[in-house]
Amino acid sequence: MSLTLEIITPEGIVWHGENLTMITLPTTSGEVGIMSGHIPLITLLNEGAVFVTRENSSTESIAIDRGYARCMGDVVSVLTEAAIDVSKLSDADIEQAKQMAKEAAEKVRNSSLDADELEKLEAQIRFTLAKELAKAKKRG
Amino acid sequence: MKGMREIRNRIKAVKSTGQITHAMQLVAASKMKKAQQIAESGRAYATLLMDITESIGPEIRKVLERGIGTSNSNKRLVVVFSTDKGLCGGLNTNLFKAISEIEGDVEFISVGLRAARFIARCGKKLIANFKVSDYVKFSESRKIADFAIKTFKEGNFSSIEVLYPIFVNTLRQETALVKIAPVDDLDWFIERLKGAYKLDVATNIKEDRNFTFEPSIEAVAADLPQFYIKHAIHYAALDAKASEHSARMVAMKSASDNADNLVAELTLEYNKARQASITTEILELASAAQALENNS
Repeated sequence: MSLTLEIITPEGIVWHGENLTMITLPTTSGEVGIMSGHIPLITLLNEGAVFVTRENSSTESIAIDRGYARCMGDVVSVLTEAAIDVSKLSDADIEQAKQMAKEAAEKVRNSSLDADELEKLEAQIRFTLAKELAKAKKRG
Repeated sequence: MKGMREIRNRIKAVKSTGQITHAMQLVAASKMKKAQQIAESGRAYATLLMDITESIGPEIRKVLERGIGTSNSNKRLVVVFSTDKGLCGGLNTNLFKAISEIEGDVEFISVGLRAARFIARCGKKLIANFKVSDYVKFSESRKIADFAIKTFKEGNFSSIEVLYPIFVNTLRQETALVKIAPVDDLDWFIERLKGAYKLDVATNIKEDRNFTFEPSIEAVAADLPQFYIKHAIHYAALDAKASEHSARMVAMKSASDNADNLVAELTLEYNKARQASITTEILELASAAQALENNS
């Protein structure tokens, strides 16, 4: 028994993997690990990293934006507006992301923003950090 | 009859224009194909979004109705999708006609330069103009959607509508005004998705246990409308691009055909002129020879 994961964005299926033993999802109520035989579940996802473990216990990670995950009959489908496969991420992208996060943080500090705006910027930072984290994990 | 040189120059000019329009036709054709492919790649997303919505079931209605504060203003927000460049037949003209017909308290967001210019010239209220590339990425349309949703929430609008040329087929595009927010009927959106991607009942995974929702079914449902609004705007942007390229392809094809016809006509005229001048020359020669003979 093994899991299948597909990550779907409006631009297509960006990540597809079979024969996975565990999938960790960044849900709004904390990280949730899913293994084979999980009850059918629909959950909200925060921006963050999805970690997958393969049968040979190697792990991979994909940074995702907010969205939904549906777990049904050992198939986990993630619906999100943006996803980045970390193995396709170049160092330049990371630099850019870091820069963006820095600017976003700066903006927050320099102005009195409303809560909604703040939430959005924080989301941006979380997304960036997830990318970072995922990349670091891959190297390590 | 015009001078031969003049006709020759015109033929050359028309021929080179024809070459340009022909090249534009080919470019538009390949862009159209790509645009359709991109639209098609959104299929998986639409299917999953629809599945999730349907698995939530009828409870969703209640939550949505609670979620929308009934606004009593009549102010509408219209997002218009036009092209940046011209030479695409009646596409923009039809769009402008539709814009002129919208009456009442309306504010516009335009995508593409043409609509921005037109709306400004008409003295209508334009809040923002966006530019998208030929192959619209979701990240581009998300900016538009985020802005529209923010304006909608803050500006006491009663609705968001999109105005764009629907791609019916290569030869036909229809300008349509579609209301996408407030989302008070998700079934309508589901039908729309099904129509757009020609979807059937989607998944074939066997599962007879009921779904668990986290954090709660209400929270899951409350987030759905914005996914639909964003998707609707993205889809409109893609459709508008496909329409643009096909309209341009058709316009350029008829331009090339016209150029070919014109070249044929001009060539005929040129040959006539050439023949006339040869006849005149022979006539002159003959009469000169005659004159010489008479003198001797």
